[in-house]
Amino acid sequence: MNQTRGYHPALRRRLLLLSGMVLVGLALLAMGLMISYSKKTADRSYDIMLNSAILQMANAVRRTEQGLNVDIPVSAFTTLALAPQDRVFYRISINGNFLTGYRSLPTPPPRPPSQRQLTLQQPDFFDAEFDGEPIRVARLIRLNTERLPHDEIQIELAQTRLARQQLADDILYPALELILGLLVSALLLLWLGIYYALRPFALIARALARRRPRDLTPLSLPVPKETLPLLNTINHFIARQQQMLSRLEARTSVAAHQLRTPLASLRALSENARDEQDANKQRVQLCGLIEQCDQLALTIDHLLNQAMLDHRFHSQELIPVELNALVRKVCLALAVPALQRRVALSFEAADTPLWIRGDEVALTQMLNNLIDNAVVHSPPDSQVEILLREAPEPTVLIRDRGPGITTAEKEKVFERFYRGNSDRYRGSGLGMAIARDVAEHHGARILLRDNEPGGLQVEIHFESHRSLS
Amino acid sequence: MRILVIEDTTVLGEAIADRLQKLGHGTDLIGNGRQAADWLRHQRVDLIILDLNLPGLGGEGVLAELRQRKTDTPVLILTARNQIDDRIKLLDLGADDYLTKPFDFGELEARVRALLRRKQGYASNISEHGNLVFNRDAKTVTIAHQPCLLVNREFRLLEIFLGGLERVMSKEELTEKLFNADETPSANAIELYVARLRKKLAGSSVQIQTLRGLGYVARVLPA
Repeated sequence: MNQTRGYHPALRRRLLLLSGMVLVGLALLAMGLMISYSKKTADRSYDIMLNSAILQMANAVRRTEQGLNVDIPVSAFTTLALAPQDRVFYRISINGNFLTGYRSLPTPPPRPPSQRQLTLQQPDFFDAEFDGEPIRVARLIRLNTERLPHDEIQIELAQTRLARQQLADDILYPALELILGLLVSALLLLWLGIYYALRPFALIARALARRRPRDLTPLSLPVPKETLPLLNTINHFIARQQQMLSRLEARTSVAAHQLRTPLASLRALSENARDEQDANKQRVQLCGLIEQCDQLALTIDHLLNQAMLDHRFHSQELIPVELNALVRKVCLALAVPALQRRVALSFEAADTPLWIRGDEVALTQMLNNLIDNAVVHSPPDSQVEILLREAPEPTVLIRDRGPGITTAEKEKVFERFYRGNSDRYRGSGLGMAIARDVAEHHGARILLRDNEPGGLQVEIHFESHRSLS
Repeated sequence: MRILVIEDTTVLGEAIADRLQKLGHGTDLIGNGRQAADWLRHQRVDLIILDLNLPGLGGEGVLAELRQRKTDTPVLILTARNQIDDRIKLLDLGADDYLTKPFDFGELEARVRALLRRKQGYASNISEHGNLVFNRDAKTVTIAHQPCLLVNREFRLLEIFLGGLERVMSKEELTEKLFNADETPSANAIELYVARLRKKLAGSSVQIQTLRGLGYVARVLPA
């Protein structure tokens, strides 16, 4: 739980921000491209007119007796008149000397070097500013070969940009409108998409929040197919809770019974002892009373352990555990209480370390119960042997010299609160059941066999985990 | 010996106090942690039996206060908690021993005896274990008033066993305590010493039991 607390990035805002940024970026790029494209297109259309006009002017430069003479034909300007708002300027120079036109037209940039013959030169175009207005200038350099040396004629023809701007705008504006329209609808769709994608989560959350705490029926909501796995997981989780709860309820009621019975015996024995006149009988009754107390304590211990283990099974990861060391530790803890019952424990480790995946607390509980059982049922001055074997799988053997268990009862002793032969089963009726629960949780099997020459051999077979060693 | 029982469950507290009184100890019973801690500022006792769940001040608090004043009065904790972590924490806090509720009086008496003996042992260097009397100063041991002749190493081994009664001691632990770092005892040296000591202790209340694969346990058998 703690890990989820703290930083909560808002998914909706992040998605919107990120995709919004990408969309706006793309739109800006498209606009930039559109602006440059529209300007180029407008320039190209009007440059054709400037081109034809300047070529006609070039052809109009003639050499006469008075020198060079320019007789600009009207037709040269008719094409330019297609842009009625724009003003036209020109300048003609011969060998670098001003001949006619507007002297103050801006100086053109140096020409890029050209391979063409000067007689066949095509005009080149550039942007400039004149009289505070942006202009487009066409420049043409021709050689007049009518005398020697040849004259270099430079003609510059300029036009203001009003019509070009108009054309560029006519191309640009519809495109911009289209881009903007697309951007807005994309953002809108994005928002809708995110809203619809995230809505099922809100739905599920609201449905869960509205529930009564005891309501553990599965959720049924009209969520889209894509969010079904989440809903199924939640339902699976609820089902597990339900299962745990009902098991808990069942166990609680059994436990209540198991606790009340020894309490009832305690009370009955106490009352009898109180009213008993015969001191000897009273002593016997009081001893019974103490025995009942021990019985009750054991039952409570086992019930609490069982609850603790149930919880651990759901919450603890299995980690590598070395069996030799663990079993030895359990034996050391049980050795002295066993001696008080005049039973000696003996321990024999396997030749190699036995690594398994397990929960040390649960395994300790299981071994405790099984070894304790063996001790309790051993005759005085006997031995309980605890041995570990590595082959074919990690195995713990617990051998006692007690009365053993008949074949018919071997399976039943694992049932909760089973009491068979009452000689053997002085206990809570839970120890073996808990041991089996722990074994199952670890993928291990508990087998009961007859010990030679008499008694019981409990075998706990673990799965091999060779990779762990 | 004077014993203070700090237990707020009246029935249990009185039962314990009664029992100890019958054994001949002067016993006081206090049911509140705060009162007990204050009382202990002015009174000296030989042993404290301390419950953990107390009104006023918890058992841990009483213990901490006591140890802060560098009082070495042995403390036996009564706890209803059965988790290993709790026990280790208690011993770290400075408890000398603990008993898990419910316990039987035999067990309680044994622990009380052991704790009082430990305290006494420090003072006099003479301790009694059933019919065996161990005199650390004179380096003598008597069994039922008969002198028992032990060589140095056997005497030291018995001392180790008496220091860890009712506890499984592994061969390695015994070897480490019995021999110094320069000596290289053979693998079965301990077995030989234990066998010899056991033979000499025959007829005494101190019994040394071998647990195969685990080690040895020394116990004082009830008379």
